[in-house]
Amino acid sequence: MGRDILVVLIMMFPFLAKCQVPEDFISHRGNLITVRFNLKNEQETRELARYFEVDFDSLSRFHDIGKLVDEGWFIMKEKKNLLIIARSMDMGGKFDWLYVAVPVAGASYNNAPGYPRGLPFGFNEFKDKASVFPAGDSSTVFMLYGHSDAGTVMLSGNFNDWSTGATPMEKVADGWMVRVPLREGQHYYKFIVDGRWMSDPQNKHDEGDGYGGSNSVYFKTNHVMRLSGYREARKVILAGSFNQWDEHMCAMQQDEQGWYLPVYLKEGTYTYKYIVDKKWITDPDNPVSRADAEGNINSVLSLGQPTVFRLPGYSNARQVVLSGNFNEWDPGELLMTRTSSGWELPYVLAPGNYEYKFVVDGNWIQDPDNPLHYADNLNSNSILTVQANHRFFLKGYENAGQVQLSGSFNGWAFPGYNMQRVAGGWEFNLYLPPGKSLYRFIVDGNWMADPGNNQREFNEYGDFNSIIWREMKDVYTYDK
Amino acid sequence: MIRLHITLLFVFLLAGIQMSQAQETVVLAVGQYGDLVFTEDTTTGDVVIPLRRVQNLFVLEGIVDGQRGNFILDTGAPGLVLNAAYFNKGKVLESASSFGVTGGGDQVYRYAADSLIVSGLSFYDLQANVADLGHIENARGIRILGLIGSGMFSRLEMVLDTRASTLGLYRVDRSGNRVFTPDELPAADLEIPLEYSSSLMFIRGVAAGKKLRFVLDTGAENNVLSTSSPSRVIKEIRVTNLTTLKGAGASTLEVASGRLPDLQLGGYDFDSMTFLLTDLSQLETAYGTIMHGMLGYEFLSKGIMVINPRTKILRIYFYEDPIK
Repeated sequence: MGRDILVVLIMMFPFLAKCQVPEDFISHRGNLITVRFNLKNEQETRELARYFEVDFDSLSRFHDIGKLVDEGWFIMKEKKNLLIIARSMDMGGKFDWLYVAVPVAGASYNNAPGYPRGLPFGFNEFKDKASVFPAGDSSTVFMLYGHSDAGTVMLSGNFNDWSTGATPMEKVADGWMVRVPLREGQHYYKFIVDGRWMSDPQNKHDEGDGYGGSNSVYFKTNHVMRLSGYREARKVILAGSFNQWDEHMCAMQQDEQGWYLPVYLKEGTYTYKYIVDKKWITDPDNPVSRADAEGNINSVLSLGQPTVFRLPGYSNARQVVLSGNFNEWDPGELLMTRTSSGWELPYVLAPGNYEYKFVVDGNWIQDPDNPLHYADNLNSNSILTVQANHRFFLKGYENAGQVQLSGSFNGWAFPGYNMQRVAGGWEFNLYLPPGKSLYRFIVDGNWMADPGNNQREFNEYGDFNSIIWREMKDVYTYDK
Repeated sequence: MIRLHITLLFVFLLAGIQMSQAQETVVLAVGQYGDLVFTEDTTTGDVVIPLRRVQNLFVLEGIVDGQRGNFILDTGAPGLVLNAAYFNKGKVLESASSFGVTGGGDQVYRYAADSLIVSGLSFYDLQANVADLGHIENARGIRILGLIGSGMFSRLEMVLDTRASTLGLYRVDRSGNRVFTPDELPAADLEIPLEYSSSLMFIRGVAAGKKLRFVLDTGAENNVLSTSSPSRVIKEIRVTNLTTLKGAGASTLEVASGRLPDLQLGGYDFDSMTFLLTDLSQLETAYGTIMHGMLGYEFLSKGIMVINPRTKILRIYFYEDPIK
């Protein structure tokens, strides 16, 4: 998880001399110096942030990064979980650039303690017996065994926004039980027995809750990895891009058909192999494979509905590549296929908002068929929203020439996302991450709060920002 | 970062106690407006409330006028404060002003809430103040419906256990003894007298030979020392940091923070707690009382804190020796 901050300094040795950063965290190559420090060490982080005049809260929370722009930082580049920002610095009369890479909240990444980090992969292990398991109606059963003397037992987790009273458990013969309509993916939870918190004593997987205790971790699985045969093998391990090719983490279980492991895999495209008694093999039941940069052949697994990217024309081009923030703007990975009318590539993306471009024989271009784009100080990229969950609508303003949307979800970008003129007003569909989003409309250059939304708060300009809360339970559970 | 944590100019004055029994509902107090402000649904009134921890804030769950959400436990606020972002329509009664540690003042409105339910405790016909709490939401990433101040629990013994993340509330008689649930805690490691004034709780201490008076504030993410404290005390602070405070609205203030090497509370040395230095004179004026600072999360997390409003004693069961 990208909880580290990278501070990259160019030609700044004198600068560092004044900065109290432990030497262990400094490395340099040529005139490029990298300072790494851990956000968990708040004191050290605050000192360095203050030294470089970066608002600490802007660093630690994605929705405040827009303030960095106000503080004079340029958004240089956005990577998967990092944002590269730069600012001119006055260092003893000589101006230079300070580059800072900060962890950001992606579409499914929530920085708040107690909420899953959007891990793309996971599986479950229990002690004596499973205490969380799927029910027949596709909901998930949570069991707390024993505690028959308790008066009340509640279930609390990210899926009910850590409510302490919304999910009471029912007393049953061997303990307490409740069914929750969990969505697939990672979940954190605890039980509350007569007002007192406790983690699940049966669950082997837990994580520190940040306050000296631990949250139990459960993955609602959506896929079974299966290797047929190999019944004589002593041990089979699953390793892939989803678990950083860890050779020990995922031991598979054996049954009559071979080896299997129920897993959660986030929508996306992954490469993997099995390790059968220390020997790496591709999946014999999967015909799809791909060579990596070193020429190794790996099995390929795609989950979810692919988005088909299309670029019409450019029939004389030798190569067209799709590149975006979903693959860290790699200009060589996603080769598009030539078709009779142009180029195309199906690619699976999880719900979220993405920026992308096409690279035509080395030249970066926007998607000519996509009217949605976002321009910052340095770049103008096409915008794609997968599974939008909110429609922004500004009623009226038929005579406006242009209406844009800017908010915490796009770093308070100016000029912001271009809204589309529709009957009766202007609209823009977006995927909003869980939690609080602040936004405003920009009508022909004039900022305004949403007149159709009563939830609003004061901003630093003496005006209002409109508020949308996307409740955690809406993210992590489905309607029964 | 610290948030605005003493929010209100107007305070709730719980005027007297009228005890009566009506089925399972016990009327504990009547407010200055003549409205019933505090009842209990349970027969005992003793509850253990699970607290959510959001960094250095203690958050509990409540339902106000049917809307379920998070409230910050804030003994630095006298009564109930609701977030203007969600209580900005209808039933607004009057306006006032607020002051916080940043000195920023914002309009505060009154709101008549029909009910507030917290873990089996029910409050009816509440006069709540309404203030902008968006800065807390934005800094902590959690939706906040309001603050629950000390006046709401003024007739109950409070047991705050930071490590267990629980708040126990127990009915006590006029002598301060538990009415229903026996007090099974042993003798405390430390007992400190409490003073009740303006619906706030104060603790006296000594530093650099000077007497000081602190608000006991569960809503303060940091201890605070007022710059109007005796200069001999201020000089004792070993400044280690500069911090930007964010208050309600857009008010911000950069303040120094540092360690106070010797602070005696209840005759006990609390070695090197960190304090933010800021001017609390506006708060002192607003409350009409002397206030040298606030004892917040760092102090409260040193052990199990038992606050008895009848005996006016704070009992502390240290998790570890505070001198270490």
